Amino acid sequence: MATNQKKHEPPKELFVPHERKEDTSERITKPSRSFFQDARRTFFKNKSAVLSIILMIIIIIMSIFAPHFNEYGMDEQDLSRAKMPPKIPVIEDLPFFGMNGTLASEFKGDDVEEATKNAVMRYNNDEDFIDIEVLSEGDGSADSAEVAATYHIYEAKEMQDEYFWLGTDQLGRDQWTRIWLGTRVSLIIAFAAAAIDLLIGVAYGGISGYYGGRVDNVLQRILEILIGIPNLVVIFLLLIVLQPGIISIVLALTITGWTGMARIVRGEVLKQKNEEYVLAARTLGQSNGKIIRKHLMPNVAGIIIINTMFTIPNAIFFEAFLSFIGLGIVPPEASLGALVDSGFKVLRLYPYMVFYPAVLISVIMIAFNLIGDGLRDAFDPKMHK
Amino acid sequence: MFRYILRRVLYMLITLFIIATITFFLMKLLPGSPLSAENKLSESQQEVILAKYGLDDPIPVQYVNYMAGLVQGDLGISFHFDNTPVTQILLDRMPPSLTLGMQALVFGTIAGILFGLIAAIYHNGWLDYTSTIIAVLGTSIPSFVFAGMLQWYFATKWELFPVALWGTYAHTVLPTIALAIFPMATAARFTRTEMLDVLGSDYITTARAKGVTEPGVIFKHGLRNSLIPLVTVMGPMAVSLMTGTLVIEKIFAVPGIGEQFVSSIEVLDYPTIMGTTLLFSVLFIVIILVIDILYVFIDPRIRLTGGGN
Repeated sequence: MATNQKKHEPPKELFVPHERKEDTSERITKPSRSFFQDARRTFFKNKSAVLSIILMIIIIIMSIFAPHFNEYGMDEQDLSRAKMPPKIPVIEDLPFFGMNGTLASEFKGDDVEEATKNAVMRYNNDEDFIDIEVLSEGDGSADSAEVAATYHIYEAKEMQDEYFWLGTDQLGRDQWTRIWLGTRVSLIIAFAAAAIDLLIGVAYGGISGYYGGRVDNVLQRILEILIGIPNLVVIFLLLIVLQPGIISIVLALTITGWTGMARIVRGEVLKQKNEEYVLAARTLGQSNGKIIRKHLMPNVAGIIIINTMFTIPNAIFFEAFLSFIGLGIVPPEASLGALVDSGFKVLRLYPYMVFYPAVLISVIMIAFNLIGDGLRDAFDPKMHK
Repeated sequence: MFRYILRRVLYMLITLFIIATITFFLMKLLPGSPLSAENKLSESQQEVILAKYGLDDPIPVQYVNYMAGLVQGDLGISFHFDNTPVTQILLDRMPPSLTLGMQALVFGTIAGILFGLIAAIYHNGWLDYTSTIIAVLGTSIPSFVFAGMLQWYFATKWELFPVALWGTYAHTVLPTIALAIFPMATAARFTRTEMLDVLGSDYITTARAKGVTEPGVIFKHGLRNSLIPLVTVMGPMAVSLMTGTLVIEKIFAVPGIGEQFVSSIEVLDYPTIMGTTLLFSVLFIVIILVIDILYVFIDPRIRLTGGGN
């Protein structure tokens, strides 16, 4: 029995002494990153947000320099060249883009002749410069015949050498210049409004949250009253009373706009100020101002940045909206909203006048919203990988 | 609960009183009188007309009269639109705006919830991405751009719906869609996030383990719980509907409150502007109040005691 048992035991020479190694279970294998480094990494991994940033940089640069790309001024009116369609060198030869400086539309009539007559009448009776293509012969009943007419307006006006890249408006002003200047105005309003909201909101919310007690109580009651007044109403009233212009729009947007930021900052500060690092700072004798600036602000920064990023598209929308209903920027100044508004009056005949400003404002709005979404994810620790 | 509502209504009345006062004095600050364009009238004729409308009284008297009228629902007389009482103008113009607003809210929310639901069920699938893209576009693209697109394609080009004006049901379709885009996108985004949250929670696993069918899990357990917080975004939605009606009624020439307001601004008809502004304030404040109360009813975890916590 004893020998049998021994047989099943591994021989002693197989046992080797265990070599003692350093304990590696707690070794840091990845570089240690601060919260902001993590946030930056997450943000730059977000393709749509990065693309939006690039797009916005291009649009901002264009809004600064593009108005000077051609020789037309912002308010150069010339009725002889009013409502010219877009025409761009090189691209004019590519039929696909529709930027060849022609107006085209379909016309109906009882027969081909009448449809053609309608087309010619529509285009200043310049028969020589109109190409007619018959789409359907018609059977004599009302509006059964259809022709497609193309009007070579640049030739008709003997302006073959002129190039209005995005056409001209009802008063003959160059749309390219006006659109980029309008973008500039819209962006200035948005950034100014966001900056003021940020300053007032952070200061108000920070003080209210940090000092608490009676200060907080008073500030919160004031805030409650302000929030109760619908901001749309305040904006309307202010803009009716004030002279229209950039400054009054910024004022109208910010006069109640900062309350949202103040609320959020207060809530966040209330949460953060009871953390131990604040207690530590206070124990070491830091002054209140320094604690707010050096300790609390960096920790509240994420939520402030996110909120500001959503204020910007909001301000752009409101400016466009106000200009659109006639309370914002007034001619000859332009903003994207004002351009869309004036284009709408001739939408059926000259759709290009609405098209370009509308596309631009939509792109700006989408870009800012995507950047905002990207930042929100970036500052969310759950999204860090 | 009752005390809370009472307190809120009291606050609401104070806010409205402040707004009405500010509006009144701002309007009085504005230069010009309703007769400043009428050069044909002699001095004495103008005096007679001003006296008729009580515009020659001292400002405090006018203020008291205006406030007294306001309490009785009298908003004054329009300077511009055929001397009609403003209350009458607003009442006449209420139905189209209400129709549009209601249709847009109902249609937008239901469509949005569906989109969000689909996105959550097919999480990270192409349906999810499509509905996310739609939601981003819907919250980003300004309503007037969208309305213009609808008008251009569906009315001018394909002639499926009337271009503008009001009358048959077909007239309401395009403005409703244009107005519904923002509520739809907001609801879709919100439902998706909430639904994903809820579907990951323990009681859903329990329900599945019990053998509840998949539709049962999603609709009975998932959707019902993810819809509660949707009430919180109803406020912004209502505001967006109000700003939306202004531009969309203008674009589609709908004879509603918004269109009235925009055209009153164009001719600077102050009594109408004031009346409409007050109406907007009342609507806004009442909607927020209703949403707050609704929220308490839906979610018993929120208790309303004393001042804000």
